[in-house]
Amino acid sequence: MTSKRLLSAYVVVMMVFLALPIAVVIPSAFSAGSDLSFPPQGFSLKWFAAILERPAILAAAWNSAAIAVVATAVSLVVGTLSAFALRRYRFPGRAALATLFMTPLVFPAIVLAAAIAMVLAPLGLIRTFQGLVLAHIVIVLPYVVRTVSATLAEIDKAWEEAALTLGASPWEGFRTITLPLLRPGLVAGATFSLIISFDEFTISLFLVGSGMMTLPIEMYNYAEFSLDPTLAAVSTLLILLTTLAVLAVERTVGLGKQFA
Amino acid sequence: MNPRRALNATLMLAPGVALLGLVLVWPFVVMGGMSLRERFPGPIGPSFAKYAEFLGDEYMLNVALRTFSLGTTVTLICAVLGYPIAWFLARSGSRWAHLVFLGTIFPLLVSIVVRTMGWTILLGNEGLVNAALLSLGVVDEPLRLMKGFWSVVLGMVHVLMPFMVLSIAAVLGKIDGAYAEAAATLGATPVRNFLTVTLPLSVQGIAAGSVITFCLCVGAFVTPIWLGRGHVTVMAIAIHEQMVTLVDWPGGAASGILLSLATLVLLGAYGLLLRRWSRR
Amino acid sequence: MSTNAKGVSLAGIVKWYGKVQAVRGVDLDVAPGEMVSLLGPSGCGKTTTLRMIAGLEVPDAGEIRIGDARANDVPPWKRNIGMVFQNYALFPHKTVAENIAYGLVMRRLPRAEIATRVADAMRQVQLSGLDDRVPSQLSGGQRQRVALARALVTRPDVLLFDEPLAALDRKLREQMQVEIRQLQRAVGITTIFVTHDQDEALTLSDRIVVMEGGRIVQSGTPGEIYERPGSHFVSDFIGMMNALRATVLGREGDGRLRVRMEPGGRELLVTGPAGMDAGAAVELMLRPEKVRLNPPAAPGTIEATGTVAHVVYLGPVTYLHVRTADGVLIAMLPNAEGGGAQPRQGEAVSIGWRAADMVCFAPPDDA
Repeated sequence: MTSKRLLSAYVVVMMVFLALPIAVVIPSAFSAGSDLSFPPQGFSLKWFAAILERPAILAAAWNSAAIAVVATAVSLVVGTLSAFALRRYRFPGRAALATLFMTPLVFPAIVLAAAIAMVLAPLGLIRTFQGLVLAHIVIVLPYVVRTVSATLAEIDKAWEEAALTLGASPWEGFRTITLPLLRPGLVAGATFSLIISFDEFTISLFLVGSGMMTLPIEMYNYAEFSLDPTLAAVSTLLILLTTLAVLAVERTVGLGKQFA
Repeated sequence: MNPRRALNATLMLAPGVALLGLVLVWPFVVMGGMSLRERFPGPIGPSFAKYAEFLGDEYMLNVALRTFSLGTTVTLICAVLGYPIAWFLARSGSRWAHLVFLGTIFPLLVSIVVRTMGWTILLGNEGLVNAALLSLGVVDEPLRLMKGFWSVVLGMVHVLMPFMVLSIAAVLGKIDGAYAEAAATLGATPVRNFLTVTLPLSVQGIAAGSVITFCLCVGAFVTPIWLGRGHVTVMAIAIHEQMVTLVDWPGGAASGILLSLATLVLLGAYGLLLRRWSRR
Repeated sequence: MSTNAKGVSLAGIVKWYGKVQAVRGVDLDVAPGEMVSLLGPSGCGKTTTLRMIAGLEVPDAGEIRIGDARANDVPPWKRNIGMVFQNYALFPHKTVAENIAYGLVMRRLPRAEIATRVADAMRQVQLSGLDDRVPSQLSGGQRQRVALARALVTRPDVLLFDEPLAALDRKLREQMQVEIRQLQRAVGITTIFVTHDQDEALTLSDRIVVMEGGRIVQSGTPGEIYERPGSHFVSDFIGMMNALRATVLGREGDGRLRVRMEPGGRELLVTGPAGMDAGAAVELMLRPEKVRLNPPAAPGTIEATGTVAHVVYLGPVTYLHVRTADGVLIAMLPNAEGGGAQPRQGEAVSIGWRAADMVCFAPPDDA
């Protein structure tokens, strides 16, 4: 069984590799010193307090949260409808359309960002909340379509048909059978969508500007002129939020099935 | 399909298709138009001047080559390092598999800015690695670990590993364990068993993971710009430079179209490969 | 319970799936309270026919009537049917009681009435006490009973079964067949049962409808279908048979056919379908259990001698493959007394059967 031990040891090393660049940010946030050197000097919470004195970061965080919520709400509705049509109906061009819905996932983000900016600029949607929301919807849509579609594949069509033969109209059947069974996919899709949108950097690059910043870009700009632990503090809060979200999804619906 | 079902399907797809049309397809068309101008503002030629410029520019060709080798390197490393993790997830039956799964996808969910900052803390001149090396007396002055091609490779492998692992694990999980057992009863040693049975059967997972890893890597912007610190100019950075620093929108558009086409051609070829596999 | 059972009638039903014609003109009348099985191999159109009766598929041509009303344009949720699905289709997120109550909730019955009727239905299928289980906690047989209760509790006009027992092991399947039959008789509900299992069809049905290639090929009581199959396909699908070749010599005054068996050249008189002219090749079908060992001499009995080529011992019965001048014949012999006393391989035996037990029809096309 040495090969099994070897594999386990390897996996542990890789987990450390994956976790380290994230984990290492956390102690830096509690540093008493004023640079990002390691190991941090002393212990202090002052950098968390410092966040509150950076209205630009707070405003950007608020923008990012609002964009994420609206983009997620829209893509949840649109993505669920699309996933349904793509799963439950057979029609010519279905495979091509399914590919189109996944394209934003692998398309070079910087190109998409510039292209979207070219279209939105003449419409006066640059540096606006609406413009950012539109771009973010396209980026998160594949995640929603994918998670919903994966869950839908587990929902036996016979359940919906059984509801019909028992006197449920298609809408009642959807409401009482399909929707409750779809819940895990919706919860997971919404969580991914919120996180992806909140963290999105490149797609927003051409669409932000003074007065309409998102948090990742504000953090990047801040880092350009000062690499002090304030950013580590913001990052620590983001890690905490992500961890809580992942654990919440994990507890309620289980992540494995929805993501694979 | 009867008319009522056809109408239902159309109505359900309409919002999604409209959105993608407006914010994905139409921008791509507009960008295509932009790339056919000689200057902006100015008329749409159609002129292929900007494409010719790209192909005749040694700097841009170097950028393209660097992007391609970054993509290839990162994809290879992800495949080699990721395969055992995927195996562990799909085959070990370990009670830790679930935790490893969470550990694998977690980097995907943490903000790219956070991850990149972590690398700065680890690899910077006053970072963890240099501090360790200095105190151990291995080196006399801090190594320049940031700002190089390999620091970008490291960052990209970290970002893209989950995609590779999940793709391989999905396929490995579907391979019937009886094949390997059959090979063992026929006299295959564990190593030959793996090389002749399991590895060939999991090629589809490696291919899927490689395509997505490569595409995401050649399109990446944040990690190369932050970990490369201006020393590792890849296509995405060059496109950004052309558009924002040089305000050459047609030139940036042409570069962007070329990068997108390369990605789409790769995806298309992969699609054909998949179709051939599914026919077998 | 349902005393006002309704009949079902199909006339000229056709269904296309793309370029494939799955159902090619089906006419069928099911009387009120009757239990009919649609029997056939997979792909014969039986499930599609059932789904059209349920309203889950819309026929491309023909008329479906439930009771006196045309049902073609009535959606499933307004047809007042009960259906038991393959793999049961129990709602995984609802308890047993909620599953059974579903149809009643959809019919907006008062809460108290729903509770009483669900409790009654659960008692009827011996599930009392399992109200709060979810389907994944039930055994196969219990799931089957929940599906049955859920379909019956709404007092539907018609009860439809789509291969509901295919997932159960043999013993449980046989037990459920008896339970379903008893319940159906007690309720008196019109029932249509789709299956590919001949034993199931024989056990359950008032009438068996055999389908092949989207058409009905024969319809009759289990006895008629088994004893007097109308074609090679039906006799081969239902039970084992000896298929013997023969040539028609002519028709007698009483309508019977004079045929000559090949090989062997034995001539005999059998009842056969109309339209068989002299010289036509026919097939004579003989069930193995009609062949007897050492038959007593009697008028109408055909005797043959041969050697035992092969013996298959199956517990209650033994099959002997006997090589005779008329070809190899399989005889099914009960192992009633003491057992083990059957002839051995290579032994010379004398067998016999009645000409009246032979059924004559056209040979299969591929022969």
